[in-house]
Amino acid sequence: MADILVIEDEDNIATALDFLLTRDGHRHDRIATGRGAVDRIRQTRPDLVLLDVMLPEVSGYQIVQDVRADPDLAGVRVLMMTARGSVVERRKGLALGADGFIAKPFELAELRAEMARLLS
Amino acid sequence: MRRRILMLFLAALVAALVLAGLALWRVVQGGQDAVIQAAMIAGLGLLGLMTALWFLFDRHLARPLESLAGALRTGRVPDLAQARHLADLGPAARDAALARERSDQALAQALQDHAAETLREKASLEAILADFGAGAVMADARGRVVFYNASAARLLPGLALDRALDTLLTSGALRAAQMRLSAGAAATDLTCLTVGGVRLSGRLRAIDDGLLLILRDGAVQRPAPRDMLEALRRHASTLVPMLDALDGPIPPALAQAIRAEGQGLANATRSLSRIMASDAPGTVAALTELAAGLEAADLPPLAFRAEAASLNALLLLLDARLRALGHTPVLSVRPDPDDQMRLVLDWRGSPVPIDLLEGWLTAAPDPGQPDVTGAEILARHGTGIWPETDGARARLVMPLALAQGVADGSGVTYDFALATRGAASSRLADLTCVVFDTETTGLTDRDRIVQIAGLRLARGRLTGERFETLVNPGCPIPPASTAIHHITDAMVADAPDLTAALTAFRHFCDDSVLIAHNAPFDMGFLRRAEAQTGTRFDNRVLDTVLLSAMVWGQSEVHTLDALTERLGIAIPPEARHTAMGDTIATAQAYLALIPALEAKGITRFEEVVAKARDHRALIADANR
Repeated sequence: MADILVIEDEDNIATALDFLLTRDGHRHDRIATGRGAVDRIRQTRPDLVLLDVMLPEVSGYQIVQDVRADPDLAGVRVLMMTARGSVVERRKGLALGADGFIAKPFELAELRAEMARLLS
Repeated sequence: MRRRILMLFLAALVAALVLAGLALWRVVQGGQDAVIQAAMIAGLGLLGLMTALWFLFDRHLARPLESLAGALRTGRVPDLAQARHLADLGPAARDAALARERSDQALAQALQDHAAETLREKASLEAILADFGAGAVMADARGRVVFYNASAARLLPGLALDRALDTLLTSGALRAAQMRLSAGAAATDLTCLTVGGVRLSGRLRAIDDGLLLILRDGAVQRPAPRDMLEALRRHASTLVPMLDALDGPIPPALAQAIRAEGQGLANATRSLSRIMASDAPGTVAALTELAAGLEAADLPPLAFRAEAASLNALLLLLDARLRALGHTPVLSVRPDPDDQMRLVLDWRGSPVPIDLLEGWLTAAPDPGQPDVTGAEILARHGTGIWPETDGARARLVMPLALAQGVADGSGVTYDFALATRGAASSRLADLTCVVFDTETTGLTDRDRIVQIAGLRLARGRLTGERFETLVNPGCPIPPASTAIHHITDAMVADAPDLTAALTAFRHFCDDSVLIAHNAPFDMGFLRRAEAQTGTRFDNRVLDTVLLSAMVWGQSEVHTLDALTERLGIAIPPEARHTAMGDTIATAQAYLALIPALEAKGITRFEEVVAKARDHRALIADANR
């Protein structure tokens, strides 16, 4: 049971994630744009942020860079999700401070394992 | 001449002496007449006159004539002051000598101009052949390589001078093409496989007694299926997690089928992504080309799989944007764990927000390709760029794949004289050899290689081909060993592992006799690694310790230092105990030992092996 913030603009993915997280018993919330996302994280201090890369207005990369620039948010784990799953995108995400990186399309087991790793 | 004149004058002198002697004899006999007195005076007078005349003749005629002749013979301009008594002969000789000097100078100048012109033409041809996109390989009548360019070296791993061309390509295609040539075709197309299984296409042409093979990379240029990939990703991204989540009313068999289909879709997009990500450009760009116009730290001579124009334009754009923010970025390269090397723009100051950087990448930096954005340029290079911080410093990081096989991206390698030096034989002076040296973590059987260097020799000459690599031993290097060869853990952290290094070295020394100083030591490391790496070294081996013992006897000292000192070969102290420094010294020692061995009647490899039995008690033979 964890507090999770989903930042995802694609409604269908968000719906699927909502279903999965509810079924697994996590408290979760969703926002559909990058703008104001860092403020929201500061306010709610989630245990984990599921963060899409390609977001309107502010990218997921910018959000993770801003989160990592704020020492108060050091305890927030960030799992990035992107359809651009190349090795270099993964390295870019991790270099900017993401704790994990998962390429879409991901399998349920893969997402669960990565979440469990970051929440343990 | 001077002697003949001297003899002449001596004869006259003797005559005068005889006259004076006779007169004197008459005086002694009591003669008192005036005739006798006159004869005596005349005789003595003549004596003095002859001596004076000889002296003047010798000084003003004979000596200057001799000196003039010497000057004319040696091409010197004669000294006129010496020849002033020779009337017009002196000036005439001087004029002739000056005319000859002028013509000699003109001839020397003409030869020099011609040589310089030939050198310029040679350099231009080398440049054309080096940058000529296709691979070019020339072989002599026996099918041995006498010329190749950098592109050919990239396409054909193991390509080296004096190596048989048919050992680098599957021989069937080459033989069939040669048959078409011998049937009368001037040139013929062929498609062939390298021994590594890479398909190449090319054109084979008969030239003189040999062959010219022009090779093109067989990879087909295909349009990037980006739109299709995007659609696949979109559908799969929504489908797969939803399907995973659905259960209940759907029959299990159907759910399983849908899941399997979804899985297939996901796998297909992943492989497609991998294919596209590995699509680095086939072109090679030197680091200096990429860094043009940028402030740069000392740049190593590296070449990357990159398009020089577009990537340089992108780096210039990033540099300009950073300078507009008040930063002064400096370009450098750093080893990169995954992509071999990373380009780094580094400055003192605050980092760049990633979205600002992504915004810069929407511009098209290359005036030659106004419709290609920075992001597209990065995608074409299979890479990306991101900001990093390190205390008060910030940087932009771009991983980039190194070009295989070429260090400076330039050059042609050739020795056309190989074709005229007769067939290879087992004569020491005819062998194709690789002289090599290894640096290791220590001296025991459990120690590991940290550096390998090699130089190729063909028919008694260095070919200019070299092999040099650090090796990651997979364990810490003891400080005592680092003190000797100065190779640290940090230096080998990003170096190839033993398997990669030995596979590359195997390509370099295929077909060659291996030569090392104390070969059992180095061969021991290569052979102990066989089980681990699967790379076998069954080459014939020569040991310069053994060869030195054959020349100077076993009681002499045969260290590399002692041997090179005996042979008058200087090793710069900083090069000693580096793999390449010791390899160069060993190669020079081997070349100098060949005539010394021949003088002892040891001219062939088999004779070395036979003779090695005499030394077996003290020096091991590294041959299997």
